[in-house]
Amino acid sequence: MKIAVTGGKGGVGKSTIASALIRHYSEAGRILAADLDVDNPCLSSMLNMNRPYKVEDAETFKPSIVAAKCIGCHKCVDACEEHALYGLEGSAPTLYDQLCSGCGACKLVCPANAIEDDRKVLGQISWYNRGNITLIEGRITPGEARSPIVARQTALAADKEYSTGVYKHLIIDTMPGVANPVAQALLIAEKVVAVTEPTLLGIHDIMLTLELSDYLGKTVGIVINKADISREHLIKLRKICAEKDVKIIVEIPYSRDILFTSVSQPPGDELKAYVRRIASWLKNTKP
Amino acid sequence: MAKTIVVLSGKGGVGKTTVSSSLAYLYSKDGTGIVAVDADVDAPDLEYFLGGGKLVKQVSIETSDKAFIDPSKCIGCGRCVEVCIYGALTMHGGKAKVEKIMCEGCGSCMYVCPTDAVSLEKHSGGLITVKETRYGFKIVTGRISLGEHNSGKMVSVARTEAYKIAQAESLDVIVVDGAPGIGCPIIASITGADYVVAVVEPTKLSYQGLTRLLEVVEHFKIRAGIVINKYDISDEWTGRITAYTMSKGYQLLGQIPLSHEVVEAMSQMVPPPEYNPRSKVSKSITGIYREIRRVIEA
Repeated sequence: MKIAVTGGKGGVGKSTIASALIRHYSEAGRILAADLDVDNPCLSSMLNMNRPYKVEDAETFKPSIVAAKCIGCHKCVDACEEHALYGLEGSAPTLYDQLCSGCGACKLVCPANAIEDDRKVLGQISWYNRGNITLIEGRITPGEARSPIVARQTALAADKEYSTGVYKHLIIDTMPGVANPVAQALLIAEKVVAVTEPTLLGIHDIMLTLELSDYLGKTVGIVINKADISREHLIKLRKICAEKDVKIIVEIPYSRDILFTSVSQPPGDELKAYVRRIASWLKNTKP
Repeated sequence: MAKTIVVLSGKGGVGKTTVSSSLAYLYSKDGTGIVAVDADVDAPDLEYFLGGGKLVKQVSIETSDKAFIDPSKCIGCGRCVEVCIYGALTMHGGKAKVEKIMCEGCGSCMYVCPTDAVSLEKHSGGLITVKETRYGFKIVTGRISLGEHNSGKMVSVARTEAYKIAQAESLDVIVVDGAPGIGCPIIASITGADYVVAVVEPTKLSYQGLTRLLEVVEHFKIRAGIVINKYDISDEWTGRITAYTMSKGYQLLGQIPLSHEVVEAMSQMVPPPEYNPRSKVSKSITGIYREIRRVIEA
């Protein structure tokens, strides 16, 4: 089964739940994990994995303009939606590297075959292993902006690895928000666990997550973390879930123990019990 | 010219909005002309804290083009599916189909299509609103449509709107509440800014987020200071963060203790320094505000 853990707002406990689920499943078989929070991947730290056994560059196309072949027509300049190519008509254009998205439109429109393939490295995809768990982690290089591409390549790598059939489950941890990198994760998942907290911000952001999952046609279950920090907002959250016919799988109370436990430690018995309930929901719910 | 202060964190949920709403509140309380910007366009929440009320302006923004396929012209050759680096195109029943939220509008599919079945159409990717807060100053909120990718552009448009307001009303400070992460929207929120306030909590994950954020900040050569939130939950990590801050030559702006009062202030939707100005949390935030103010004016 392919499961995405998401939730909208940052710091609600996405990675805590994802890593606890991964540890839970790994007790009974081989598990594949994917960290698509490419801006700030956390799972390797949380699963106590220190050194990747394989690192690949996440890279994209960038044009290399062969001045000798260029006829100066500037069709590529007009085609570039990112305005990454500029210069005087009649001469070969210059590439502003940072704006290039690597889409390849320039190469497709060039009538003189003057554009050749060059590569631009955006980040790394790292492979870790510990016991029954294999982790594929996307990590963008600080200063690079194109998180969606790194997230997509990580998602594709994970999907391909999962298709080998040696893993029982694939668990994907996502970025906060509902932008493209989150959509990339939800797209390959069969079921979605959305983590939130009873605050106005948590409610606001979980609504966006539900909208996105609905758009993508995914089955969602909600985990309310820190459920006891506000009675008023907890009631609101329950009401919203009832109205939208979305299942609240568990409500986990705020725990100072979690706060003071090192992130690399396995979850305590209390959290383990909640995670078993999440796993049982995942098992008994149709995609 | 108005100074732009951007509040960021790398990791999410460590207290960006708590700090930025407090900064905006304290600046305005002291009589400084300010405008606030919510640059977390994926999940904008700042206006709730500041009591965004009367709508001053609302503009829909076309952030991107989207590919559109004319099924009567599509011959199902699949060349568009091959060239799309975003995975936005798939084949369905012998025809190409665009997954709209994945499409970045680059046009590659259009250029490669042998039958001219693909066209690009303007797409409304988001909404900019300007509201008046309960404190009288304005807040500009960028909000991106579902699953949209072009959040950097939304951030730039929101910042430009705030800049125009600051010019027209001769304001002194623009407070920007940023998004979590270090990618496109963060880069768009710090380019040309005067100061970055990096919020961190003493955990390994937040520390990692901070170091990655500061690499980006360094890359763009912006001045920055650090705020340690919930500093008392780990002596070890507070110590490490302090040492790291010093070694990198950044200023430690202050530390905020762990307190349930922040949660209470949040449920009331007011910045902590207004909720209870005499609490320890509020005193530390006020100290941080004064320090930022001093550094910006220097």
